[in-house]
Amino acid sequence: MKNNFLLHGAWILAAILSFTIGANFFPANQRVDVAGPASGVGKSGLADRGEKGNAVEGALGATPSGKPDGGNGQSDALQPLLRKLSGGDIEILGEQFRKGTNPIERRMAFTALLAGLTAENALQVRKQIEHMDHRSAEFREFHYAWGAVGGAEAVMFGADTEEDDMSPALTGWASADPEAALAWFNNLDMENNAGFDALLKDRKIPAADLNGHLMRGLVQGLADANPDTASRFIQDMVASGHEGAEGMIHIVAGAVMRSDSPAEAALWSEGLPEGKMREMAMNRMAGHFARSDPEAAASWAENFSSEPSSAGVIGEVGQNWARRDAQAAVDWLESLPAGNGQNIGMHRAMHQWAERDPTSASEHLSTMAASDSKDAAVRGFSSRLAWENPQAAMSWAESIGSDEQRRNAIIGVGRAWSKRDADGAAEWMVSSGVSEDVQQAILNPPKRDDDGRRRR
Amino acid sequence: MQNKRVIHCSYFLLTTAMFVVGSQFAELPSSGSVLPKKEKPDPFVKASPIQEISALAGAEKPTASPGQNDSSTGQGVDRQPLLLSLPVGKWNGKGLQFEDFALEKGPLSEGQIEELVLAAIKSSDPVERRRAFDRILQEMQQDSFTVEQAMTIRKAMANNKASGEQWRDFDYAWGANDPEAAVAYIEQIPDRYRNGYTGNMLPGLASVEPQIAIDLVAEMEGDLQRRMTGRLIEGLADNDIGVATEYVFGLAENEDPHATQHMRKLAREVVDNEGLEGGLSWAENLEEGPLQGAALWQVANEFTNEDPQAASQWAEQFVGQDQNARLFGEVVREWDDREAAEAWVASLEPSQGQRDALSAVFGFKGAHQPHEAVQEIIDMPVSQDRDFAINGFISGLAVQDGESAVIWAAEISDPGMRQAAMIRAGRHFFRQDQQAAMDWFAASDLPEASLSQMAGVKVD
Repeated sequence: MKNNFLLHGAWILAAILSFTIGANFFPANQRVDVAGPASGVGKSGLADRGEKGNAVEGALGATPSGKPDGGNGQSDALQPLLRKLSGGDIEILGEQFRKGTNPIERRMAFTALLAGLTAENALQVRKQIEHMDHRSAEFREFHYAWGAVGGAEAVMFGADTEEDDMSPALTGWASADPEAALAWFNNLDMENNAGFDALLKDRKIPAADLNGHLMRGLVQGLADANPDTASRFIQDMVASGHEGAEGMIHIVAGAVMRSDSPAEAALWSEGLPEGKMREMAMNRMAGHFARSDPEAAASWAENFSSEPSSAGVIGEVGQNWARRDAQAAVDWLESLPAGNGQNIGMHRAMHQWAERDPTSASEHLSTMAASDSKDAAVRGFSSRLAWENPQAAMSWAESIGSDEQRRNAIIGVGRAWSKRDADGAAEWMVSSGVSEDVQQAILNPPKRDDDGRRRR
Repeated sequence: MQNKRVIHCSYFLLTTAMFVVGSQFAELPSSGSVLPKKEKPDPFVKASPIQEISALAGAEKPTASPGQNDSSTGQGVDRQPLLLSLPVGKWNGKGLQFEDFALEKGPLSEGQIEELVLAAIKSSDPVERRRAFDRILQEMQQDSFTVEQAMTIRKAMANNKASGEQWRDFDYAWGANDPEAAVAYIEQIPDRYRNGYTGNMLPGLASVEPQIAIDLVAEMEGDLQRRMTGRLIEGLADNDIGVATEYVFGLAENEDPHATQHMRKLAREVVDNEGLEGGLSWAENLEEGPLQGAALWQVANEFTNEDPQAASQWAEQFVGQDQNARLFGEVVREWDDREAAEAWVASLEPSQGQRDALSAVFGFKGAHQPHEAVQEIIDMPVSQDRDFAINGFISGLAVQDGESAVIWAAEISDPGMRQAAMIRAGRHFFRQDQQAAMDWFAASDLPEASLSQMAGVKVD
């Protein structure tokens, strides 16, 4: 009796074990022969090159004969989704990624690595790409993908490395799970988190800088998932007094510009809440739209020609349209109601026109009646002409009606003249009778700091 | 006995069946894994100040079930890992189903190609973009791939403003997978795109049809030929390092003035393809001479960037080989620890390599510590070392102060080196202040012909 019991028990145990082994180690359709010979897929060239690309083919789902196996009804493109990479697969793919003999083979190996990436094998996959420059697309995409599958663990891994891998990991995480990434970021207390010691204490990176760096990564990921989420997050950051947060709208704008048509992107920016962030986004989109379709951009921009905060939109359209067709751009600008938008647009459009065809530009200026808009146009024109013909540019600058505009134009032309021909500029200053303060402003232009920004 | 056999057989069958069931069970995709990735719900959808967002930490996230993913309601968060998700819908408002583009479903249609290219350029997810473009590249490897498909891809890429990298990969793949069509297209592409296209396609072509690619470049002339030779070498190296090496040696035999430059290019490719170790071994085993010198010079660059200490020890085996002297300077230039680099140079035996390294030390100082360098040079007796120090010093100095650099160049005692250094420094001087440079030139003893080298003007 006891023997019988043991016999049945042993067989039942064997059946359970058998199921477990089948499920874990021999899943149907797993391509065990990762390094099996591939041949004859293509008509020539890469696809015919024998032993090369085997692991890639395997990992991407080709059969050992090199032909895709559609027998189970799963697509080739889906194969990576169903395929677990073994440690050996990862090593082979890594080798091909590092030493593949052509860029396509290396590219495919990298994609196969990403396709098989899990939170568990991420460190081993990372070893295959760690030789890459941290600014390279591959390095960043790996961390993006790891962030998406690994979340906080992937982000915090970067706290102990030299490279910039925290930010792309956070981007990936935020793109896949915005809520969790946001919550993590908002609860960050870096100074009291030993995980950040290597960055804050050893490398002495200021906490605010690191926070800003991570925030940019977060915003990029939120924008990838949903630009509206990203812009609302920025709004909240601005409201909570985070300095410079508005500027991050450029990250969101970039994501929108990639996915949407210029017209759609412009509409998106228009829908943002009033304020500096919207102004920045609209300006960016106006330039993008105008480069693609200036007439359509102009029609859109006209809606804002009387909004003082949207003057930059008119300026962007005027400038970018003038690059293609300065006369048309200026005609359009002249049709707009007088105001700051028209003036900025005229300044930029005439600057462009002076660069392309100074004779036609000057002829057009001669036909314009005196106005603020003409003053702006002359200022734009003279600022460009100063690099070619400073004497003529100065004559134009001196003809400006508004005292303030004229002074600024003279200083601008004088500075360009001094850089181009210091002796000639000095001679002009002596003979022109310009005031001492204008001379000083010409001779002492604002210095630029290390970032190339003008110091105030 | 009979009974026992039946029992054992039954259990054996059951066990086998369980194994099969287990293996099939594992094959089933996890729920939601093939759902299209939709735009993620907006956690701010209800007025959500920062405090509220913080409160989300630890909150249970909604889970998705197949078919329930609805971005418009903000429900159905796709919690699948990125790579288990299918394409984002944002770029064109609908999800891209990769199974519709499977290889076994036959050649991609025009519409499918356009959709994939659009995803490859417009998707907000970089990994998604990569996968979509990879599917295009896979299609190009198929026997069924046609010129019409290639044209559809090109048109879609142009319309959607594909990146330079995507153009490079597409053109390479076309050259590698359909050499005949890719070469024929050179004559059809508009003039303004021809050189860019040829430069991208050529390495792909050379990687599978080296001779056709070599012949193509041989028909070119002047600067275009020089530039395309570089691209050709990339492709030849992808085909076979030996073929590429033989080709570059052939250029030198035919007195190509850019042969050493091409050898450096090849050395970079070898290190890229074979790794540093492979690159070192390849360079060390080349035939002795200027081409080997150029190859060693380049691998020294790569080695120093990876491990300067080890690179410096490796370099020492070439002390006394004048044709390989330039690698010593390269080690110094690439070594980011200036003190260690200087100490190493001081430890080297007097040789051409040591002087080249000294020149590199002073090149750095000329750019970054000119006053310190001047004092050191003044303290040096007139010698070959001093000449090399000045020669290096003016290279660093001339970028910022051409006028001082030409004065220092005149201090070099060796006449040939002096003239070459004056011309080199003079080029910068002419760029910085043409009038003053003309005055200096008039007073110098440089030959009239050197004016064109410095000022870029034709001398009658």
